[in-house]
Amino acid sequence: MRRTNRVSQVQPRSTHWLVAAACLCIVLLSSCGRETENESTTDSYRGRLLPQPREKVDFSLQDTQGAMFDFREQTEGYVTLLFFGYTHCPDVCPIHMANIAAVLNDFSFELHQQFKVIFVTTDPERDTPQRMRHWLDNFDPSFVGLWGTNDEVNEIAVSLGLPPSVIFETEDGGYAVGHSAHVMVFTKDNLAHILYPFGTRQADWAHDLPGLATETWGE
Amino acid sequence: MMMKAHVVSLSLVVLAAVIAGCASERPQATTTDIEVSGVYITEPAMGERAAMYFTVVNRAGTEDELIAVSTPVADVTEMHKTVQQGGTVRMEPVTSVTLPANGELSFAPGGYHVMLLALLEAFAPGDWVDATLHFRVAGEIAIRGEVLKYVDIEKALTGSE
Repeated sequence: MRRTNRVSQVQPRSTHWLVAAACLCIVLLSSCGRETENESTTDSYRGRLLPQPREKVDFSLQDTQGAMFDFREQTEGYVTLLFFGYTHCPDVCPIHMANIAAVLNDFSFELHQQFKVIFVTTDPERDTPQRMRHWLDNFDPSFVGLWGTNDEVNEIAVSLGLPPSVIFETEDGGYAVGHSAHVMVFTKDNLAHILYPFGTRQADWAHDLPGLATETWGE
Repeated sequence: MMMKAHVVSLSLVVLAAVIAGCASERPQATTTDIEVSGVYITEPAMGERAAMYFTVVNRAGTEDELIAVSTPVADVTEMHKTVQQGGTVRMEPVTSVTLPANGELSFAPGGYHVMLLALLEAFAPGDWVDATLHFRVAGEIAIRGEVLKYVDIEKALTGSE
């Protein structure tokens, strides 16, 4: 009697566990599907999707050859990766740049050609166009370096919804520059739909960039 | 002849094992309770400055404090913390970093790094750099780290693709 009782007590509990486990599996499966298996455009990327896509702004800044670079016109038709940083930056900037360069250089020539990487300095005082060129060449000679005054560059960043840069004095009499941590990616529709925070890995870029080259966002 | 061949092949195996052991072993320093591993230095960007990363494990039940890092390759070293706030990233100098009791302290991109400034020696990917960590309680611990290209930092510090 006692034995059957015990069994009958246990059974409902184990049923509960089964139901709970099944639910958990469904939740896990559906969340997995959302990240990796779903073919629909917006859910399959590892970057951070913007709730409201942001339009390219019209601006011209000096490139590393001293010519004026018209952002909207000269990035038309490309997937454009825009990053604000500075060459004295110790880890965030060079790691972002190195990771992107490594991934792009693994692509076929045809695919690689569909991307433009634009680095805008937030440290116009120390980053001369020549210095930026030298620094960018460490990663990829095709990367575009742009220079403008602090006010010009901050106006651009803010109009794109990115934080402006801030200069911090350091104890040794020098300074550091706080800047946006994100790489903003514009697809060929001239809209930025997605941001990549610092910590984006090479595998994430390799996963997302080919899709962004053909992305039409359901249009 | 057979014997000799066996001895030779056995010693080759031993040698290979020793070499493999050396190669796979990350340079690390150990006092009684503190172990430092995964020491990496970035290639000096523009030949001017480089960042150093490492992991410190404390097996002691008491906390310690990393108060300085020195290296013969740089005249100035600073400990910095990268702070991300509201989409902005900036670095802040710190004068010391706590090493928790029975815990770990990680210097990694996006967190803490040691900045090597005013470089005294040129170094490049593949080179090894000596340094000393100065702890308030444990004292000095000598470490050695490999210089890596920026592109290889992610893989080295996360140990995977």
